[in-house]
Amino acid sequence: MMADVFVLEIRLLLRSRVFIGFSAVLILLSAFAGWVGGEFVRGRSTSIVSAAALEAATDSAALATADRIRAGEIDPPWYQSPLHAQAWSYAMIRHVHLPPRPWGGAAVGDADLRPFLFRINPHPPERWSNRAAEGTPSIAALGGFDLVDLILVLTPLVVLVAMTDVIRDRGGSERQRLAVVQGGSVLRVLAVRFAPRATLILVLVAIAGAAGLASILPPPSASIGAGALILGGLIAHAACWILVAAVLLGLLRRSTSIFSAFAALWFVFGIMAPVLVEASARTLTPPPSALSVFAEERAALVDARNRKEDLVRAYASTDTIAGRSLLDALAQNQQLITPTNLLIQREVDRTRAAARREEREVRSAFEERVATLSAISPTLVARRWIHSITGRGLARRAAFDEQVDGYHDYLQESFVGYLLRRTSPDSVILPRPFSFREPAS
Amino acid sequence: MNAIGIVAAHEWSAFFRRGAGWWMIVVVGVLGTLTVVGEFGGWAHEAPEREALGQTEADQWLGLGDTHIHEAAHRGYFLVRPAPAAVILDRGSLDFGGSAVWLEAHRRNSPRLRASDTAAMVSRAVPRGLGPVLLWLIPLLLALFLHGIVADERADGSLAFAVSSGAPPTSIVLGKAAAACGLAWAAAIPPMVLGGGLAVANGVNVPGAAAWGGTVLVGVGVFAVLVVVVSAAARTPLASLVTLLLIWFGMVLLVPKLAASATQVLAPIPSSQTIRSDAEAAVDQLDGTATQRRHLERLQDAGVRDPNPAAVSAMALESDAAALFARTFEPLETGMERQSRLLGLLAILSPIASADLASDGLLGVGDRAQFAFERRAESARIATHMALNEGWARLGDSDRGSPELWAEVVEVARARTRDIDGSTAGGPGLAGLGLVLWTLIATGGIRVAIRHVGRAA
Repeated sequence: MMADVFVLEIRLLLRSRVFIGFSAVLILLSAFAGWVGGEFVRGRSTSIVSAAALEAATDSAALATADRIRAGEIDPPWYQSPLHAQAWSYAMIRHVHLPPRPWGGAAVGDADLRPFLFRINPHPPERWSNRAAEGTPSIAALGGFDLVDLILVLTPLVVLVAMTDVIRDRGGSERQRLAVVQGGSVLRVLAVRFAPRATLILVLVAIAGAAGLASILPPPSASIGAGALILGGLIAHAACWILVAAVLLGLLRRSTSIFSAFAALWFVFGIMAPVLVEASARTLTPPPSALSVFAEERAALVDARNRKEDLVRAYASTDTIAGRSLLDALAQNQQLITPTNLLIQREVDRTRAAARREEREVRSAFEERVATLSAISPTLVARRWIHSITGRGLARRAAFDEQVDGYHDYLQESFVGYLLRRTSPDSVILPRPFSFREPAS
Repeated sequence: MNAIGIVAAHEWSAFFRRGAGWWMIVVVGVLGTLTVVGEFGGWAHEAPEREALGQTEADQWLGLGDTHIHEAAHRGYFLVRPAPAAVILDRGSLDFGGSAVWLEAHRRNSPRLRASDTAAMVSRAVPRGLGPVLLWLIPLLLALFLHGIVADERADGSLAFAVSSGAPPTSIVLGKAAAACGLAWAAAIPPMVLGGGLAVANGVNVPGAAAWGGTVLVGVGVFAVLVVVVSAAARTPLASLVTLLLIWFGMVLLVPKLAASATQVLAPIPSSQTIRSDAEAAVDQLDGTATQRRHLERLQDAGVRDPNPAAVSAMALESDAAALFARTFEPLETGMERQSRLLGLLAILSPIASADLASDGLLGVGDRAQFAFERRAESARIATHMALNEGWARLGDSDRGSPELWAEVVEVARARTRDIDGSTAGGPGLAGLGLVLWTLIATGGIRVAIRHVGRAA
């Protein structure tokens, strides 16, 4: 009999035009969002491949030019010779990139606002030209369709639409009164009607999620397990909101009160939660002010620039090979742009080391606070978990930033001796390309 | 008119008797006030910081002494956009545009200090500022509290009684619509007055603030009318509530997101990272030979007998680089402007999105302001470096700057952005059409509601 009631409720719900229409819209939007996400990721992968090809082509051209120079076939000016360390340090093409994970198209998040691919060189970071990801501000403010966000935000609405009859009957109806007389208690009757609908909601969310994931057209490297985990996260999130609906049904009597309370909870914990959590975290654990950090970095840079001659002399006293050349250049008022830029960067790194450490600690504390406060919202919890699977989490971005710094240090090690000593090796300097190492999860 | 007034008065007192009126005014008042206070506090903290940063930049230039001019050119000058007081009313898309540009010789740098870069969770498509908060919150509360404004009376039979007793359906619907609008405006006005007062006191012009306020009131007013229309057309109060919630969701979240996605598909922009990389590589290939003669002649015509040859070479490189950047960045600039216009056009599908984008344009916190700042920054970059190189050219054999030259450079840079707040606030743009359209739709909806009410008997 319970099975009959179960099937009957599902049939009733599947007859609801509003529910069917809403389900169709959800599945179509999920498929669209998945496709948009997949295109986004494929575009990025193509850019990374193109950048690698450009690096290889430039290296090959440089090696060919070097051979011709050695053979005496050509004699280019120093600033066009790949054998000249300073010239080549600017002309060499190297990129750093954060490759998308196989299921990255499921959750774009704020990836479109973050640089994923930019040129890097041995010179100070302000000389990297294209580190920022720019776009039309109003488009950036709205963001595109993110499959995971779409489903997470729409799931409470799905619950509301699916439970409309149950909520309406909570307020009292002839049908319910008859059922109570026959079945015993209001809540039992509601529970019998609630369970099949809850099951259908979970099935619908799974279908929408699967449609979206399939539309991403994931690469062969995408594991079914990770896809299943994403679906699991979406389903668990739906279960949370079903539970919320169940609690409200138990606590409140009037149908409009239940609807209104559910809508208000959805608004606060589903839609506005990121804003509220970010604002609360900024109040409780203020992160370093971007303006203040910027101003201090700039002040340190200007201060170091004002002492550049002292820095050159100090370096010259420690490096006997470079010393003479640098001091002679100073005496002749020559422009020592490249060596002084490097020494200025070292000086800024030295003077700002403690402050940067403290800023990183404060920033970490702020991000931890955000993570803690996010626990109030099932939407945020689900989003953070899925983002960690799809490679959109803060940890992966932090790992990328760290590896970029490490690669920059490596490039500087490859070049800086020559740049400070204003000499060149016998062959073209070819540092290995950057390769992102996935952080241990 | 008398009957409409009676119905409106009756509804108005019913709102407050049932508590809905008080809830709306209190909730909107509290959240609106908190938003204003928060935004004002943030602006009051940030504005002097930005001013101090700008002053520091100027001071470091003024303290350059006899620095080599070419070295000074590569030190660059960070042009910082003043924090507009309009953020007290609406942040628009400011958090997604950079507010400082490094003006460097023959390099066009991307804007920095983008607020969204430092957010732990970047919130997309959420209200930022008083205007958007009101545009989101008031329609939601109207849906929650007023969904039964007609539907409840239909359900309990009082509507049928009223109509069959001779009450004109037109008066009923118009009276209820007037009361709903009145409640929406009564909730909106207190925080708007607070925010508007603070904004005007800190530099926002009065017509701009008034236009912003009018836009928000029209937006919430249109939704108030739609609430009455849906309530009149719905069979039950619950159906009215569900429909209004779905409409709210569609207008507030779905349409803007769809519009943004559609804009990116229909009007894609080239990659800024590729363009910058290409521009940098192309500058390295410039030699400026052809342009040097033109600059040399111009300087000699201006009375400079023996222009410093390095300065002339630098001027040539600078002007060639500026022309190169104008060509190279043009697809990106026009692409972004096209996206902005298309988004404004697509936003007409929602009165909330239309009101939001229109108010951004009115206050100068939208795309147009950001584009203007970046254009001015590039113009300032060219002007400062040409001024620097002209000053250098006049020095003859010397390559060293002077306090007078640095002061001239600082003034040239600052002049470009001094009045950016006032000049970028403008019209509502294409999104304003959406408000006009939705006002007409709401008017048409009234007729539908009148028909449904008339059938209640």
